[in-house]
Amino acid sequence: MRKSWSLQYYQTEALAHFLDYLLCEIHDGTAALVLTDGRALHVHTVHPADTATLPAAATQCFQYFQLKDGEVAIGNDPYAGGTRLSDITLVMGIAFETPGEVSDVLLAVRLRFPPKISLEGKLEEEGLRIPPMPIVVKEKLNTDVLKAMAAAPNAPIDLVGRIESAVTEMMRVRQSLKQCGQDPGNELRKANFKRYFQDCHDIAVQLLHKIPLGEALVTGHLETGELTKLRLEATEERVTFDFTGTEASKNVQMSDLATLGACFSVVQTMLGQKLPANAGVFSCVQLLAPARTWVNAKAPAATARGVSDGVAFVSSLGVRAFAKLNKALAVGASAYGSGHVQFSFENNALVSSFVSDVTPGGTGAGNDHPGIDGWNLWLHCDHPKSVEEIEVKFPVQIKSVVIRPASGGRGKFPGGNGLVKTYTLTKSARVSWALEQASNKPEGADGGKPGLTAEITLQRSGSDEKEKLAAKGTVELEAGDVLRVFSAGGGAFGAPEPEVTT
Amino acid sequence: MPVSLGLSIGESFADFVAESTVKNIPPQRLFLARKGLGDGLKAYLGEHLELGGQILISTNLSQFAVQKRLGSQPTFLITAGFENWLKLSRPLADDRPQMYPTREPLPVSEDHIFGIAERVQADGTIETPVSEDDLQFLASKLELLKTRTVAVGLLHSTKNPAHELRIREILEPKGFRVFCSHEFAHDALSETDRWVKVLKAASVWSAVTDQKQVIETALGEHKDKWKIRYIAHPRYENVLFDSPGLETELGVASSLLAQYPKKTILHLDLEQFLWLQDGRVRQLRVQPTTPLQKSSWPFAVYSDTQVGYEPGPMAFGKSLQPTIFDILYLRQRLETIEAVTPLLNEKSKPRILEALFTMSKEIPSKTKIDANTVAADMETALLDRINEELLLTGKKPTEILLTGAFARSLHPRLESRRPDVRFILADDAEFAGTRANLSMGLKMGSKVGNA
Repeated sequence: MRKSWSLQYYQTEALAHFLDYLLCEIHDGTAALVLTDGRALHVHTVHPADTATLPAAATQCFQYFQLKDGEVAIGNDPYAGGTRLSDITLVMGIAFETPGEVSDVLLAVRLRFPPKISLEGKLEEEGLRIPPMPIVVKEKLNTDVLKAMAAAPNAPIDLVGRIESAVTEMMRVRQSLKQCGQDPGNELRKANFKRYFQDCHDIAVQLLHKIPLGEALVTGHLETGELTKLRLEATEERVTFDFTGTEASKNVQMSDLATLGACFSVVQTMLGQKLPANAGVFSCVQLLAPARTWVNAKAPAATARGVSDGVAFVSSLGVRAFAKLNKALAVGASAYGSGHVQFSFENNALVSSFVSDVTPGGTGAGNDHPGIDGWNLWLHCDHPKSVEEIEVKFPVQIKSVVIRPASGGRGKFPGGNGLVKTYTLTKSARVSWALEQASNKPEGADGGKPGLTAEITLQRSGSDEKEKLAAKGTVELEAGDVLRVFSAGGGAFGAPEPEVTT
Repeated sequence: MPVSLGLSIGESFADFVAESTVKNIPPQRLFLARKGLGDGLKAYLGEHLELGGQILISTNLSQFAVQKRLGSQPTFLITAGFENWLKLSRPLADDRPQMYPTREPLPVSEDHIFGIAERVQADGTIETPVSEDDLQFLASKLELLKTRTVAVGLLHSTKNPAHELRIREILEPKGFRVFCSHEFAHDALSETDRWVKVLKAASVWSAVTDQKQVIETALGEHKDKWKIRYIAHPRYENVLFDSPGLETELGVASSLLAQYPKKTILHLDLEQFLWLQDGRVRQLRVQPTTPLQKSSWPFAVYSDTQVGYEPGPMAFGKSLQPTIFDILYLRQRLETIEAVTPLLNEKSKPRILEALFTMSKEIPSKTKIDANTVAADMETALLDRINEELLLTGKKPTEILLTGAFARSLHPRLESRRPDVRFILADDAEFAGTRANLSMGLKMGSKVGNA
């Protein structure tokens, strides 16, 4: 039908658009279509850590179970394609072109539940570990297995309901893919995939030409002092993120695949373009992360903090490295810490519940933009959606959420302000928290002033005294105690106007 | 009723379809930027004006009333301590990865947000009662602001609406129209979704009230002989509304679903492309005024936004950005559309072609790029985008009914794109939506709801 402007690019764009549309409405938009040989056909994510982990999770499930058309497996192992234990992946085999039951593609969908952090860095404390296992066989959902999982003391709330509804959605997508086989004009054909990957790779390479070539070395420290070293190398064909020299950490840890996703996210952000996320494009981003560093941790290291604060830290470091290659990309540092606070309640001797919440800080300003208040550039999918929901489910009251005045750095373009979130309890609880940037201010750029650091204070019931707490810790709270989380402000860009004194 | 008038009011066009016991009145379309709704209505009814009857209106006003700031600006009352919360909860306006993202704009000016010192707990218990003195003081502040509508969004008002209702009790006698968020809590919405909804309702109510006023003014001395009713979203199961607000959203879809039950409908009208299947309504990703934009591809693609008809597509001789409308113009698909032909400016063609050519310069093709071919390609891309909707349902319909102003011209193209599906052109497809308003109104006239 079409034989004109670079026919092949048009067909490739049409396929990329279709796959994106197909996946974007599935469960918060975290889904991937992956070929059975492991190549990602399309990944649609909202969290950077999902980009490389979802295809890996799909491939692992297929290797274990050789999923046939319509069969679904489940898993959440952070070291087998997962991210953190609270993120559960479902993988379905789909035969859309080949007659019979042999799958042509794998559909991976990730369900995100509230993360639980382990201050001790122990994976088993972060939730229920689900080894890969089939849950839909011969079109039948194994509800007994799901119920057994849901009965575990550290299982997420509404696990069964959300899995059931996700499987229904996946079945709809499967039907859509099967319909593609009947549409003579559709580009979703196995014969087209080689060309599709090559075209997408070529497009990405053309875009990479907009990034200055060269090498840049940047370093940074986590709140607890561990060194992170990043050597960025941008060539005409590829961007390499080399973390050689980075230290291990007991606080913030994540898998290399989660780190790779963060790096891909930085490249996209620098280009200001949404690249088609598939194997062809992924081949333009390379990660070198020595084992046992915090950016390539190994089991049984806990990953919840890595997948939030760690991903944002790596991304911020990546931005700084690009700014070294091109000064025009310089920005004030953003508050990358999520301000994670977790309340645990003992409901009875056997059952406990927990609620976790985050307080985003401000973003850094650029050479023609002020920063944004209360926005985490990399983790906005984790932003709290509802005050009421937390208060209805748990004996916590959020008294207020306000913008923290003057917390963004001063400058020609000021940094975004952090927030102040105030909690009080209606029942005793244990609260744990872990703040990043409680001692390191988010720096300004080009003479801009830094933002304020993150803080947490406690005011005991009946007392006027507000005690400043350490960056990380656990305390027992009684009903009526008030906890305040102050998130960091973003760094400013450009020197502020001198103050006029009379 | 001597005259029954179906009226579809969009952002830029209004369609009239009437049935009269006296004389046949042909359907008509009005471009609102050229002639106001009131004048157009008066001219259309002509001597029928004095006969009286009923006017059955569908409007998609609720989709753009907030964005275009139609009607009077509402004031938003919120639990103290959460004045920033709605702003902080707004999603990104654009999902492209970028260093300086912007949030979607607030549906209310930040200067019109006031905190109320009150608190209802999660179980509905009142922790801090609302102060009567504070409310009286607030009322005088609102008078100074010349506010007409007030939206109230208090935490946990779905558990205990006492405070929201008390605010209404105090403010309504003083002449303010008060909208309470607990009345918009269907589908287990979060508080911020509920607040956006109540603010939208307040804005839409104000805009629709203005619109109704325009119609009543046009009816003049014969106003009392006419009944004006609005057709609501399909969720309201074909109930008509006397003084509507948010319920009017996608009103024409409701009429079409009622007129053609059990059919799968592709409504390709001047202002919106809709997919109607199994009682559900879905707006297509591509819309008639979707612009082309640069992307990561070496050629322009359709964006996810709409630019509307103000200042108008390039084909009207205005604007600099080509849209789907312009592509269809270049492809000669607009010639038979009522009221649109006189707006088309022949001189715009080379400008549109030039814009397409400029956007396609980066195509790494060995062959010479020709703007006419690019236009043909963009039309095919449009058909592909429409076809995606069909694929995404996961349930292939055997036949699809086509309605709307573009239905006739796109019919053969859709048929050749999907030869395995039967596309049927509705009777008088161009005005099928407005005609459906009329027949639904005649059928459902006795079921009138309160907004």
